[in-house]
Amino acid sequence: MTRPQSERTEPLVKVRGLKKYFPIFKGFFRQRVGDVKAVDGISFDIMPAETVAMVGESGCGKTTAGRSLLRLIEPNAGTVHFRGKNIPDLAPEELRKMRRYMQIIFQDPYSSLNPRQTIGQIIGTPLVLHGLAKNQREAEGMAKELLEKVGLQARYTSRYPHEFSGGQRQRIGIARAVALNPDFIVCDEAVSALDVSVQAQVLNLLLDLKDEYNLSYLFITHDLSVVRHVSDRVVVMYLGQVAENAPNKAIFSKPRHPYTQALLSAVPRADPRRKRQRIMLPGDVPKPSNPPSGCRFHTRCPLAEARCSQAVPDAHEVGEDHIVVCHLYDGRTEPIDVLEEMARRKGA
Amino acid sequence: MALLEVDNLQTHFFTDKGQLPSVDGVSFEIEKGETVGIVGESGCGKSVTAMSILRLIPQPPGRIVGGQIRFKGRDLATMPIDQLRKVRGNEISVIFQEPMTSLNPVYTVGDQIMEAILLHQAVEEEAARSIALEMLDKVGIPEPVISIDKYPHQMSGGQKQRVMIAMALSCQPDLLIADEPTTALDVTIQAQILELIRELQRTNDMGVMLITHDLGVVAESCDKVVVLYAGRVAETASAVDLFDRPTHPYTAGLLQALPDRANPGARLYTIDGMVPPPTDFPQGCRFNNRCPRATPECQTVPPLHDLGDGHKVWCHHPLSAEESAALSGEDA
Repeated sequence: MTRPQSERTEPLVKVRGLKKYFPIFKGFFRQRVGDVKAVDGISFDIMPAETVAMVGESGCGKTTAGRSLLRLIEPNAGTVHFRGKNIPDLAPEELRKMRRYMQIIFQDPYSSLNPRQTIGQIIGTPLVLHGLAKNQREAEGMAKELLEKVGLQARYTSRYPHEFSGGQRQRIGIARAVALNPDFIVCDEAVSALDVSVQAQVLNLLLDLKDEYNLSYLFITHDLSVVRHVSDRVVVMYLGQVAENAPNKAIFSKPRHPYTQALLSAVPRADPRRKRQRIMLPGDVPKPSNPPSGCRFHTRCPLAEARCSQAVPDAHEVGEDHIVVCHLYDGRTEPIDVLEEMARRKGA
Repeated sequence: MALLEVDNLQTHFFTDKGQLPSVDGVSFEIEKGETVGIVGESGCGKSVTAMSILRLIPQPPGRIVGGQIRFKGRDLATMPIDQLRKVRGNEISVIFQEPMTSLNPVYTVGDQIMEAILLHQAVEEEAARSIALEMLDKVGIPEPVISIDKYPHQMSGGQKQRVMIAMALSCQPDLLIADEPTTALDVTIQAQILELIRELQRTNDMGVMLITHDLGVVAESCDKVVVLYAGRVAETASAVDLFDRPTHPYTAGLLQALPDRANPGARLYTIDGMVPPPTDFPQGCRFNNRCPRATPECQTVPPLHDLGDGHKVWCHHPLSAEESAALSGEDA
């Protein structure tokens, strides 16, 4: 994989103002009564060979974001620059050619493999379609190599998906994704359905392949211990928008956004002696069809003020490559500890 | 006398593939006010153990073939079914993993909570409704007066789990069995639900059996832990001891495989292979085909090592104190 010198410091994937609304229809005449604003104007970059983790709770739009930037679903607005092209502008034929370079690994290893195709067909067919193999026979041979690379036996090419366990299926999904030698893979909750011991095996495999193929990952997950382990950069989403975007170290050592802090404090740690004080968020995530005014987090934020419900917060650069979208950082960059601030306000 | 004593429980399934020993000699105790975590990966027998306690195993193919389940001294395994019905939902309640499918979609949540109250307590409908309202308020459902007449589909996953808890606790049970109560929920909601269970436990002095695969949840919520592997107990200890001194190679492997114990980006420790299905449990120690310390000796049933203070390990080659200390030291 060689890229011109000029591109090397450029982001591999450059997402700007990406939006995906799903219309809501109601009544006999199926009138459009509103939109589910699943992804509502997100921007971020993925550098070559970088792993960006996208985190957030159910309904924050992380899966929709991953799929609409690959155009597995059509985004409503925004640009996705990848290999010198804007993905949303591509004609169907161009898009099909581009797919080779951007792949996805799905969450559910049980529904993402066609039960009527052999493993050889599942991995081999894309190789034929994209001209990397002359015929199905040659593709099968390449599929065998790929299976060995992901830690499965070459002879499995003649088997069907139901003969494999969840962890093995996820390895097949990975083999399919790397078969075309892509630059970029979206891993949508790729290890969430796996048990701890198998999850560790698959994470190791993903890290190895990243080094071998010089891959960039967009790692979509809700599991923060996985995020801390695999990512170079973390994008925290809340209700379809980016709350914070920062390098791994900064997110875990100096989280700025109150939502990021709450999310981190809610993760149970496997250490009974280190019980921490938690930031308890009241209630549920609001509906994306009718998001709160101003800052979308204000209905659950322990530090919300009057301005938070009135004005949409700006994106503030609070450190190197560290962006936070929150009113608390209007004119300040140092982290505000939510628990300390809550205690201080109570005392005052 | 402990609140619940499970003694050498054996629940087997009789299928075309033969007799499957899904739970094969599991023993543990739960005291009043205590939270006991049952941990292990998929297929280790956690849920079958829980369902056996209330005899909710579909029969056939399943059957409790041995052991005793003593609840306040009475053996649930042999109790006549009409007596058992008075225990279920009244003295012992269950919360299932899937709040989405555990509620009946055609009844309001109020009706479903009241059903348990009317069945087990000598109260009129009016009084049952006010108990239901009180429970909904206790579990933090907003506007109980309105929510009580909602149908399950009108609620979020977190709210449905709260309704399940309200239902489970409406008769003030002595024992709560929570089968992966937060697995389907987001972390911020998980934190709320676990805190809620702890709070209600304190007020009722209730015993809790918490089934989970999440070692973080165990560390934060449990007093005692039972580690299951392939239908048998591998190790049992207080939560602090288990994390400080993991002694069974399987427990040690599980802890080492956690991403939050490794340096970011470093290779994770892995346990080779996967949990075998009950058709293929190995002879002797059932972990022997994945264990890095296995020797030919492991083809025989492993002996019990009692480390004191309830810390028990079934293994031919348990980790020494130095070895397990080295493991937990890595976490610094």
